[in-house]
Amino acid sequence: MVRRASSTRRGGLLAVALGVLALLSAPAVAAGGGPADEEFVVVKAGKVITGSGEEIDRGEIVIVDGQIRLVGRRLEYPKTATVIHAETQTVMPGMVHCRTRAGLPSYQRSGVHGDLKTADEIYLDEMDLESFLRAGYTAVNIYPAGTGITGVSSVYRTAGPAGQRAVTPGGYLRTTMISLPRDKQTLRDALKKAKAEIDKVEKARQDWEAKRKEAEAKKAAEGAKPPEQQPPSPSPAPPTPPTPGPQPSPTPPKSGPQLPAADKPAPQETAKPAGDASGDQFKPPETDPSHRALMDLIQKKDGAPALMLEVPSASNILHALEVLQGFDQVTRTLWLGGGFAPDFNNAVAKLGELKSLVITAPAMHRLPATINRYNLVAELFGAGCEVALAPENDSPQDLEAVRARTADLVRSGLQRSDAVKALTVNAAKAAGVGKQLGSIEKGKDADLVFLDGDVLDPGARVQRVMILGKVVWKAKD
Amino acid sequence: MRCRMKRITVAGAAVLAMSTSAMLRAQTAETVSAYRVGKVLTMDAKDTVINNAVVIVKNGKIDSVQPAAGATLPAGVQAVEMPDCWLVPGFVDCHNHTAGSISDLNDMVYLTNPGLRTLDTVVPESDNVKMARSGGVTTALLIPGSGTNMSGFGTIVKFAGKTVDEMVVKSPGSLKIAQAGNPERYWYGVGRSFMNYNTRQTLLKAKAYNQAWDDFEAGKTKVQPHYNPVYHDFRGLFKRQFIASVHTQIYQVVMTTVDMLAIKLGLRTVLDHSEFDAWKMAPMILDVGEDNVWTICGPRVLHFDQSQRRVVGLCIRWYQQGIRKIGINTDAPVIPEEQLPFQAAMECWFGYHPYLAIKGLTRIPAEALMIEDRLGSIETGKDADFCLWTGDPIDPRSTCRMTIINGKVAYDGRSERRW
Amino acid sequence: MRMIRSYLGALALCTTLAIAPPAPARQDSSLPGDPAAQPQPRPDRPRRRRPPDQPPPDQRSGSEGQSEAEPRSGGKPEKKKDDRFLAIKGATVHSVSGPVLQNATIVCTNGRITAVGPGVPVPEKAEVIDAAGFHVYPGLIAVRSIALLGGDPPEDTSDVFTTQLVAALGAGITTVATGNTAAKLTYGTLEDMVVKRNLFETIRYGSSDPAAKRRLRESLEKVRQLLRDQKAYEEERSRNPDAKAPDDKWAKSGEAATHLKLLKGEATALADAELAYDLEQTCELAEEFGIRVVVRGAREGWTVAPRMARAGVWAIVTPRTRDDPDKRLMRPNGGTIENAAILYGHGVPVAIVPSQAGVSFGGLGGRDLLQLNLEAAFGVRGGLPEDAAVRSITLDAARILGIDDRVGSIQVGKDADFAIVTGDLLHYTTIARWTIVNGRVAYDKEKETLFQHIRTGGDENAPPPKDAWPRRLGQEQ
Repeated sequence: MVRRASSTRRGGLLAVALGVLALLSAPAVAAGGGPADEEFVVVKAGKVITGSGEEIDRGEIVIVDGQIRLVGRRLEYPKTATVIHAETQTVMPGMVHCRTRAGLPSYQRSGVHGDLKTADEIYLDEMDLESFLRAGYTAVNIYPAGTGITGVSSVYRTAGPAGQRAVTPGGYLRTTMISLPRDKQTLRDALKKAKAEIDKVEKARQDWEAKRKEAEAKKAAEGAKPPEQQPPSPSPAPPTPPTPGPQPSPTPPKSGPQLPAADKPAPQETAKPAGDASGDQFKPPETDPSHRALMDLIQKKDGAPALMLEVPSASNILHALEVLQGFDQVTRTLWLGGGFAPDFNNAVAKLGELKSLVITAPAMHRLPATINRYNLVAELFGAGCEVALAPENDSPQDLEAVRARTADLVRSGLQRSDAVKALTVNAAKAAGVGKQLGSIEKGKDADLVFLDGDVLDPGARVQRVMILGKVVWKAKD
Repeated sequence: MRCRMKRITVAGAAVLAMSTSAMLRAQTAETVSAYRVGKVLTMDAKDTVINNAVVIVKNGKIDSVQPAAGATLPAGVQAVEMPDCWLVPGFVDCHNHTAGSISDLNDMVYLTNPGLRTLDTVVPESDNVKMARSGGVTTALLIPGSGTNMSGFGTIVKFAGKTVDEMVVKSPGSLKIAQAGNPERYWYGVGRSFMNYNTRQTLLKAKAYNQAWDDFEAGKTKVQPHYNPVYHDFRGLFKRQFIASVHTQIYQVVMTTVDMLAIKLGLRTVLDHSEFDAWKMAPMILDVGEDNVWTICGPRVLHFDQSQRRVVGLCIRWYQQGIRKIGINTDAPVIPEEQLPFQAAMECWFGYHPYLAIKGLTRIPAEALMIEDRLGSIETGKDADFCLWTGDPIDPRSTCRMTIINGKVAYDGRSERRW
Repeated sequence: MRMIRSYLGALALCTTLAIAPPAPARQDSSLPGDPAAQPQPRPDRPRRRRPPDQPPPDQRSGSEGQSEAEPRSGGKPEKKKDDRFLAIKGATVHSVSGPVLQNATIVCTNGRITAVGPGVPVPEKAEVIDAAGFHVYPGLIAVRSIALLGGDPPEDTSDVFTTQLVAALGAGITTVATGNTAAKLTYGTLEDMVVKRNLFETIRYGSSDPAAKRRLRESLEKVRQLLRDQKAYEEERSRNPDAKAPDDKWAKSGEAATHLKLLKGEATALADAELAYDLEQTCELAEEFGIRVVVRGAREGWTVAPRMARAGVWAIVTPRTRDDPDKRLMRPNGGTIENAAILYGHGVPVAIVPSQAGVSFGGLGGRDLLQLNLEAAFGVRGGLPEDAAVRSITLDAARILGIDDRVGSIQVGKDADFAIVTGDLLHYTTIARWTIVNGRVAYDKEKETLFQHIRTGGDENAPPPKDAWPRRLGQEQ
């Protein structure tokens, strides 16, 4: 199947492949001469679907130490490299399930819990993720259950070395806008409080600076001259216009991409300064940990997880946007969930205007109060949204049906390229791990899926799954 | 208990009073009256409308309809002067359950109850009767409810008369059959296949009974069949002297109705309700002939069409499918009888033509009930059943000022305003 | 922008607008991000008790720079950034409060009526509706509604895309009482929804519950005594500074506080009363305590109309309510079609509602809000003058809700809410062609599928709507 396809499409894709080759040829040589302790793995595929738009017939992927280094055709690599022959197969990026509980129990909780992480409730060893592997998912984004602001989701590989299962930074801050007016009020209050907390820190810093200046002035006045050239007063801290807001607050060391010990709850990001209260270091006041994730978002901190809104209807999107007004910097990721007769057709234009990243299930939607169906996913792409597809639920059947159902959407007007993006890069982006996962590109993790047919061929099955350059799962014959 | 006794006494008294008044009436000479009005909707076959007319009534029948200019009144007759009013035939409702008290609605003894009649439950001069005629409705087919597949024979009555006999126009006026919907709730519940089987069996037995008598009467058989009170009334049904009024709606059910009753059993069938997407069966009805299958819409007036998220009016939808004989009913007390004209107004809100809607309250139901020789239009020789309206009779703003039944004033809104 | 508009909308509640400015001020100082735009702490009282004339605190956040006392067109230079103009041309305008204007033009600016009359100039950028041949009425008002908008507060609970909402707009309705709030049917937006909160204080004063009746009287008497004591105290204090103020703590919350508002004339009571006895008792209560009462039902109002007029009681009635008289009673009783007319004739302001306060597609049409206008037409049947019938669902309905300063008639300064219909509002073939809410086209018959196929005026030979039955796969829908 694959071979036939590739032979017929060879001519068409040749130019593309050559282009890729030309682009990558220089690093290819460099890669070829890497240090001996690097571990090379080479995948020779019938077809490589990169996920970011290219499809390379008879493509090759060079993987070094679990990361993709080269993608193209007729690449150079050391003779010692391990070659994985998949000339009859299609290789695609491992899919990221961007919204799952992965079999964890649900529970009732409401209110603001931005400090909660799914990581706190997970014992990876006890989880059986085989059905995800079988369906081609190499990572799952597990969200915290409940309503309101339920916490930050965590992304884990579905297999692989114990220490490297967690994908960080990743996940999103999950917020529901389902039950009105409660959820709306929760988000409104949370945003208000987060903003107040930011202002509180800002004000404390200003006070501290004013005091320091005063002290310096006093010092200067006491001593006839400053003994040495003290750094000019405004320089140690960034300039401080009175507006609170986007500029990064000088809160100490960014918690950065610190890798939490695998399978362990990530240590809580702390607002406490590293230094002691020696006076020349600003000590920010204590802030409410449950609102810190929101504060980071509002302040556009690096690595702050995006806000993901779960909405069951078009009107609730308006309710959410109304509350988020004035917080434009808060990323707009939405899960358009089920409900009895979702009327998301009414929200398409608005979501397109906002260029939202929309997570939804691969299904034809019913126009409300009719029996007519329409292709919501295609409409959203058409309006300018990015769409990530995730199954409605996590039964093995639903997981495995995702590609076939996406193929249905393609038959009803969805562009193939959009469909592939929705399954791969966009899903990774939605899960907050777009930098590491979701496509076959240089620098990304070598989490790959080998199919015995095209990605949108409903009959194609996952044959092998590779995680960080190692084949971790094989289909039984 | 006491209440019932009281009612019996009242009824007895009424019967007494009636008989004396009937005797008196027989002795009186011919009664003549005349009405000068601004407009007459005759609702005749030519759709005649006469502005400024005089209608002369003699002995309870319409004597003549003449233009007011140059009209000659019989000597000694003073015309009732209502020059601003419209004179419209009394409305006819094909589907009314308010013969008696609400507990008489359904005698759900068996799933088919072929021998029952609403005639036994009619209460003259009830509040419902009075309200109905104050709303311009003069004639109705009182039928039993649709709790069973066959709940008995209906009675066509006028809403005037102090005894049941005075009220009755025709009895039996119809056989009530209900298909799907309500009868499904009978006892522990039944489904459509059994209900249709059961209805069909009852009708086939009745048909065989009728055939046996027909054969005997034609001399084909010698032995007189046994008289069976349960089935005897069905003879008129199979001779098409009266109709089968059928509680039927939703296209699949209507299809069964038309097929079983009109085609296979040859009954004159009136589709009461004709709701939801029943209009989809219009081609089949046109095949069978509109004289054999009559479409009477109500009490629902609209249908939410989920194929296109539309709200469609029933009459206009049937009309668009080619059906031309469309009546309108109330299913009183579902819709109070006096609001029958408003049912027509609602059909017009959805695009039906007001004149056709008025036709659906007068001539068409009269034809459907096979009483068009007496009722449903203002024509010489027909019963003088009409109403004087302050304007368009289906406009909610218009009032019925006067109701004349059998040539006599049955309701006078000028002195006793009701509706 | 949205926030500002909603703020202005809410602000308009507290500014009486005898003459509306040509374009409401949109002041720069109210832009979000303004340093002064600090979120206000939420008031302690629960949301439901928010004073009717204040926007919800959340809407005020970010626009506090503009104080409420500040007039809309202040001294500051106005920045007319994107004024929203709407013009309706060539229609017959039924202003309700004034004469009927032929071939008139209505100009609306930012949701307000700014000019009405023949030959009024139309702003260049205006969205123009050519309504020649159509009749413009003020948007209809339903003083009772179910399931069109959400409960209190409607702006946080409503679904603004429902089919019911579209249908109600298709009936020409623009304002409804939902819960205890008067709100607009703002299809597709949450902006400028609320007109007035806390419409009524519901009281129980019916013969079916004598205990409740007694409690109400006792409470009113107690509160009235407090008012007397306070008055006496004021007088006493002028002579004796040591006078002791009466204890009024108990009247600060709960039922007593409600009753205090009633007695001070700050609130209107709503009572369900149908029978003559209950109506008379309610009148007595209103007169005795000098409170403003609106009765709902008033089936036998026609028997006590002069009494109701004297007591200043207003009525919400359903003309078609049928109640056959009980002949055993030695007094006029039961319902009559003349009820509304008799009440009106005696000077009782009447609002008309249908027997069902929602919109139903079950089929038994003509008794719900879809035919609000025809329920008023039944009032005419009973003798109500036609103009009074129109007012009973427009201006008089607005008076009963206490929102006649904003809606209910077509006057300069009032909200731009219109029902643009095909003919006489009270005729049974009249249907809305456009419905305007806050100067926006909220309903366009030709763009909504619900009634689009209806050819008004009984054009029974118009082609039938396109049918999708029987349906076949692959068939054009």
